[in-house]
Amino acid sequence: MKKLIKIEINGKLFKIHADTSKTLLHVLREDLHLTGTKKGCNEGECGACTILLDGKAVYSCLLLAVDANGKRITTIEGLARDGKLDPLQETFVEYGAIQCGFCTPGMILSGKALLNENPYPSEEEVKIALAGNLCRCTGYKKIITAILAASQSHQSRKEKCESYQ
Amino acid sequence: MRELSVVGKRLPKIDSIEKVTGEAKFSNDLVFPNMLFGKILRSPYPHAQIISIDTKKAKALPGVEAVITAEDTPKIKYVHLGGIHEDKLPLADKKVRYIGDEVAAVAATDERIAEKAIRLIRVKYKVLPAVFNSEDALKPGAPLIHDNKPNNIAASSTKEFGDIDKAFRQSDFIFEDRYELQAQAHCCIEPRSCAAMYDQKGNLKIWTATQSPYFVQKELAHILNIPLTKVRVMEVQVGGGFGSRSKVCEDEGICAFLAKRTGKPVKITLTREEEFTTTRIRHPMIIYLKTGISKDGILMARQAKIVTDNGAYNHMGPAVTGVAGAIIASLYRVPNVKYELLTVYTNKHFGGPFRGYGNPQATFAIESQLDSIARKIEMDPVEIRVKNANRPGDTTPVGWKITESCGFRECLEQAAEAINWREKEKNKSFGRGVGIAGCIHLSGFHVYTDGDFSSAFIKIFSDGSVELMVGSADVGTWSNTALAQIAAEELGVTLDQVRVVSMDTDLTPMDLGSWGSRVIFIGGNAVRRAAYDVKWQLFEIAASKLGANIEDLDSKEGRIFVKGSPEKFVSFSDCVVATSRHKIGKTILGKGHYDSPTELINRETGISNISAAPIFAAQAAEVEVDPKTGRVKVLRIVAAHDIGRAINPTAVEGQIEGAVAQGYGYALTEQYEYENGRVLNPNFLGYRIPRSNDIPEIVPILVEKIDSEGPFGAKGVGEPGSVPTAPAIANAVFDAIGIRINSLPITPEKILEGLRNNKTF
Amino acid sequence: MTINFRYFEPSTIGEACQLVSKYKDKAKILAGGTDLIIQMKRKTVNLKYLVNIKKIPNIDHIIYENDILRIGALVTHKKLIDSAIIQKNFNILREACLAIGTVQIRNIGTLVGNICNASPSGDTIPPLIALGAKVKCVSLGGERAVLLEDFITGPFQTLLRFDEVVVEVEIPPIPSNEQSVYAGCYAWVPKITATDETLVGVAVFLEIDQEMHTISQARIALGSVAPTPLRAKEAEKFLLGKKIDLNLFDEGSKIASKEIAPRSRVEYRYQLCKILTENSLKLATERALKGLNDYEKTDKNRDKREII
Repeated sequence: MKKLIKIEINGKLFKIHADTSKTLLHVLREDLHLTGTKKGCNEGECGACTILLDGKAVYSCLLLAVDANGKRITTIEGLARDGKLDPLQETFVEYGAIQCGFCTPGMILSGKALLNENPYPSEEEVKIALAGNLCRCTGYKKIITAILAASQSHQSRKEKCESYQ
Repeated sequence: MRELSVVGKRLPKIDSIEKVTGEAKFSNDLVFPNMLFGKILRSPYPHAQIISIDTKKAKALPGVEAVITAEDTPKIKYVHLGGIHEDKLPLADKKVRYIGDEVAAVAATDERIAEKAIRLIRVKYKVLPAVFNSEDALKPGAPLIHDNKPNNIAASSTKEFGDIDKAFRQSDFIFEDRYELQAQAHCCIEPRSCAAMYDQKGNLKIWTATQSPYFVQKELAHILNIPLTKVRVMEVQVGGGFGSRSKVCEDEGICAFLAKRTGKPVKITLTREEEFTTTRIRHPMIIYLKTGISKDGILMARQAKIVTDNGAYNHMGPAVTGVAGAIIASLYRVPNVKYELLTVYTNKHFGGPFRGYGNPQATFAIESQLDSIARKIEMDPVEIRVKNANRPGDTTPVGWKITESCGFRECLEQAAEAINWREKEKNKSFGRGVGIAGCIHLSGFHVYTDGDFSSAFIKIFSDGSVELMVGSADVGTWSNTALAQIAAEELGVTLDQVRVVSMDTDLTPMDLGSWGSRVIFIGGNAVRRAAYDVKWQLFEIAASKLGANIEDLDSKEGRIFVKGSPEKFVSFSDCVVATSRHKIGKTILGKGHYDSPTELINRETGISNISAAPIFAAQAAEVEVDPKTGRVKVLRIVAAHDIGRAINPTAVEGQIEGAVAQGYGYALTEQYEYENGRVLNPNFLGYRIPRSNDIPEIVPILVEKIDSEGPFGAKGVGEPGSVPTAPAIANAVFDAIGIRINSLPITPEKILEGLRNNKTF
Repeated sequence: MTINFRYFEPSTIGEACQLVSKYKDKAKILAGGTDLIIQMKRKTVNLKYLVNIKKIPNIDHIIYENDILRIGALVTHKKLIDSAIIQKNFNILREACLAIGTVQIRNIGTLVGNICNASPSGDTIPPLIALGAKVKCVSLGGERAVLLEDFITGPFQTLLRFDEVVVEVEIPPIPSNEQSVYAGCYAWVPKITATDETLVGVAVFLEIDQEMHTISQARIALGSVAPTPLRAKEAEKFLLGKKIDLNLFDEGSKIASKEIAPRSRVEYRYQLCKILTENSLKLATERALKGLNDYEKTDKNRDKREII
């Protein structure tokens, strides 16, 4: 069964004739060719399919595409603006938080969701925010460092601005 | 040596941008016109004869373009170890040997149609009795899994070095223990994935998640019965390997057959369940270890019996057991060694290469027992290790020559210091403990008659930029980046002036692949030679342009000048352009080859120096054990690794941190559950790998003793990170509560049972 | 994946009831979907009609009025964790929601969904039982409230009829008096790693007589130790009216641990149950006596309604 849905993805409105039995993950990857979001387990455990739904981190493999009707989605492709990387993308590069890169989009988006809600998290809070994203390459250490660094650079930029006032 | 400007620097991974933006394409991201989706029909029985296969209904389903069985193939087995060890067909013929064995495959226009078609294939089986552990498989009268291997023994070997009986007689203390190591899943976050297509001339192209394009090329050509170079393995991003992809994988062969049959591109991606149940695992082993020691703590004799649960097929099982045996002979200085190795077939999913390749199992036994020994003879566990540590100039009983750059002692001392060993041992408290373990591994293993080699090409473009071409695969290890740094350093350019082409078997020179911790040492040497070669081609042109002597030239950031006068230079670009216009008629192309100065493995005598760069490590763990709940909390793991030189410290740390996390899982959380050969937990819900809020603090320590043979002094680090972790944790648990756990994983139940009955597990 | 089903998005409870009344056991309700979608992928559910209730208004509320807490069917675990009302007055529920796996699951999984899935290890169920929760089920024929501790009848089985939809969970006022202080605690141990399913979960809710320093009321609910979550009624009876001391909790927890019937890792679960019950009782008592009152009466002058 098909249903016409409208989803705002990375700031752009898409009209899709979505199969009601297909997940948002499937539609993103197969119909819209946004392959940055990955299929790692298809069962809501590995987090490689993480996207932001109205700013919150969710598993796109556990959402029916039709359930995203009228919602705002951010995928990894939507993070950089006009060719300028998001601070999180920059710190992931700078701190060596990437090895094979398969978990990276999901990790960055989970980090982004955290910083949106809690701009200055503790290390413990970062660990809990990432607990839904598996990585087998890095041991998580540099990923956690990268997220803390992005938050601190935000903090030090904020402090700089405040000190100017 | 002059000061290094690229090697040794924490430069970002060269494919970082495409990975943080989602642009990087993995095999399952690829789309081709007319692409079909492949699915595999697998045996539901652990052991059965195939009586008949009826594919009529499946073939008739609209959208299905091919249904194949063994009859549609030349029925040639994969080579792997070759000879009598060849035992696996791409699709089962007459018999299936484990739940998941590939029986048939379908290619269809849609994934759901392919799934439906699989369910329409009717297979008649005659179920046979099955065995699920090595003990049962060895019993007389046990069901025979492979006709040519009586008693289900895939391979066996006994070796003795020195005089073992005399040595035990002369020992003051003898210790005998049994250790049991469980299977472990690689859990690459990218599930197995490949896409293949044939052209009209019968040339096959395949994009696949692999560590070893050459092995894929070789094996596919073999099973398809076509010439080697009719198979081209393409470059693609790979989502992890850890050994699961260092040899050809079954879906690659099936994908090729489906592509051939349909004449269209075919893509296969395994489900996570298939990934857990039908791809390689770390071999479970039972190790009986007997060690003789003098009263002043000198190791005299070591005898081991290693029984490996091979699973249903060989893959690399005998070789993995072989490495475990060699470690028995080589970890620490033990002059008298005997080992008996048995690799036994069972009707379960089968083992393959996994980071360490038999070493984690052997080291767990050796290091747990050495800890026991130290306690019993009242010697400090660090001291006993330093006392017996391998030293430069040693040769182990199996012929491994320990080189000058051996940093074993330094690793042990630095790990002990980093965990505050002395303080902690002085101020002991029940429930809190520290443990240490060391390891030996090799950078490069000379196990193929081809040699242990690598090659590299380097192109310089007319704008001066550099293209490095290597046959190895960077599956996340930063190998491309580190190789590029080596090239850049030798050439005299910055890293951002270098791009890397890897994996493509048409474009890149032959390379045995990314396994055995070999890429930096062997690949790096080849790259350095290629860079040196092309640099001198450029210097020749530059010398003529500058009117200087070629020996007086130097290069930096893409400019060539007389040493001491950098302001008067010609650029790489100038040189390349000059050759294309000038009547010289030269092409600027660097090539380098490195074959390590080693001996081919000698399976007869068991003695051969198969690596030019043994590598060492020591890891120490601090744990807290709750004696009421039995739960172990690892507070900290420090990991000191003997790496020669870190080409990129960030990359080396990343390798160590990731490997330690896998070792942590091996020690505490990862376990397959089976029922009559069926995996009961083939998903991340049931099979627990550590998450961000599980891992302890991990502190990598880079011990850099420059290696004279390695590129800029570097040795490998890919595997050892996973080797001493489990025994370090187990030894720390003993230190905390006085209970020895000799079987992995360490569980709360084992700890509580141990505390209740003062038992060892 | 279950492919052949008809998909509906009713815009009222009435419409939803009509659909489940018509299609009965072939219809399934989709709220968060964190359990249902996995069942559809594994084809362990018999589904011909999918009824997505997320478009229905007025079932997304956390309302605390007249000492009654009402949580609507669409309230996610995340919303409960962030809710000021829950943090202040029903911290035990917050603790339970935090025990649920991962951020991504908590963001879309619902409390009511967790209840209706009725997993033996569902984390929110023991605390809700300890609080005396009722499940409000609506059908074309009317409405009924079922006590949660009766609602779950077996692993993944509830009393929910095929023609009913759960719209709300209600926690009734706990009868109280001036002398009493109240507090709850949810303690759990995961199976293997931190985000794992719960191996043993213990929820405790205590009413303590401040003057007499005795236990006026004890409710102990245990999860993942039997085919369904259960109340440790023997232990509750034992604690009633007794003077508080460490011995009491030791004894009480021993009794509680004998009331369970685990199917796997049996010995270990007995041990953990005893330890967790003891710890929970201690912690709840501490909280109550410190005035970290987990249960505050609603201030009738302030509107504590919180509709998200």
